[in-house]
Amino acid sequence: MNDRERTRTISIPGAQEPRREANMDGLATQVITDKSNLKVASLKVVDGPGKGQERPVFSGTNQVGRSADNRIPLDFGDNTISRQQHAVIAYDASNGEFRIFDGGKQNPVQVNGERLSGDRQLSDGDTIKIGLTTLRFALM
Amino acid sequence: MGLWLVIGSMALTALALVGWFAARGRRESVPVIPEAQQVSRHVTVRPDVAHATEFRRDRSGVVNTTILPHPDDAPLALLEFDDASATVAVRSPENIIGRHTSVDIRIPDVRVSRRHAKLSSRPGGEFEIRNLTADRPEPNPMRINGDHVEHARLRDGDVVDLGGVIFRFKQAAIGLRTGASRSERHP
Repeated sequence: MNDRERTRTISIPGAQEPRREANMDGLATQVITDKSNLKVASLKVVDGPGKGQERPVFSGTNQVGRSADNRIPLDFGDNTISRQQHAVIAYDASNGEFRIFDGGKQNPVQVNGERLSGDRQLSDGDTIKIGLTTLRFALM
Repeated sequence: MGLWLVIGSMALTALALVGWFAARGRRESVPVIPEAQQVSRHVTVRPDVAHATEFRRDRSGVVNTTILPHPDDAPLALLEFDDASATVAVRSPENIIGRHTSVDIRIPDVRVSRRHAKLSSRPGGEFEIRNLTADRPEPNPMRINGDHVEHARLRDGDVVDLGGVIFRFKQAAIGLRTGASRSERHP
């Protein structure tokens, strides 16, 4: 199991600059029920150890991390991804908006090549880099 | 001339000694942080609950919290998170545990409710925990030692699971605290 393996820090330009803490006070709790099991988008691994794999994004709050118990598990051996909540992707059904939140972990998250600080909106076709893994976000 | 040299060197030695004592005094006033009371970036506690809390930002901008020891203020209980990588000292008889920035013991994990549970001490020092989401149509899960419960008295070593975030409850020795022993003497 790579679940107990410690996260390896990688060097990313600007990684040492302070990041804003993502405010998740407005986010609904991630609960896994039939209602919340609706797939609304997908993440395709376009580069890194899991290249070719795909993960669904569900309605509501999705935790992204290396452990298998994350709602979006990036469990393909990239140990530069933190085990729990490296990022959070949330879908708000009331306005159809997707947002990505920085989990504040060792290695920063990048969206379209820009370092994520706090949170930002996600649009169809955006690329997300977490550790050494690059994901392409696509609407369902 | 020789006498002045002797007096001069004595004065220098005295100055050096004073300086050394002053430096030693300053060093001693810096609080020593015991390993067990360090809280990792996974959990933060409100300063008035932890009594003395130091907030530090590491190079990535993440706030790390360290609970400083207070001589007269032994914790009522300890919450050991993630195989003791983070330990929270509970010093207040009433604590809201959750994800919201306003709660007493904050777990910034989206599996935890904004206000998930209330940890409170009963007369005599024993603690109980209550799921604050219990009256919702779909309560957010709380398990004690693997069993789904909405309310439980906690015993030393009990394992609490809030939506998948796990900590072990460690009870401080009941009666060792001045408050508890006083109430035993004057019931």
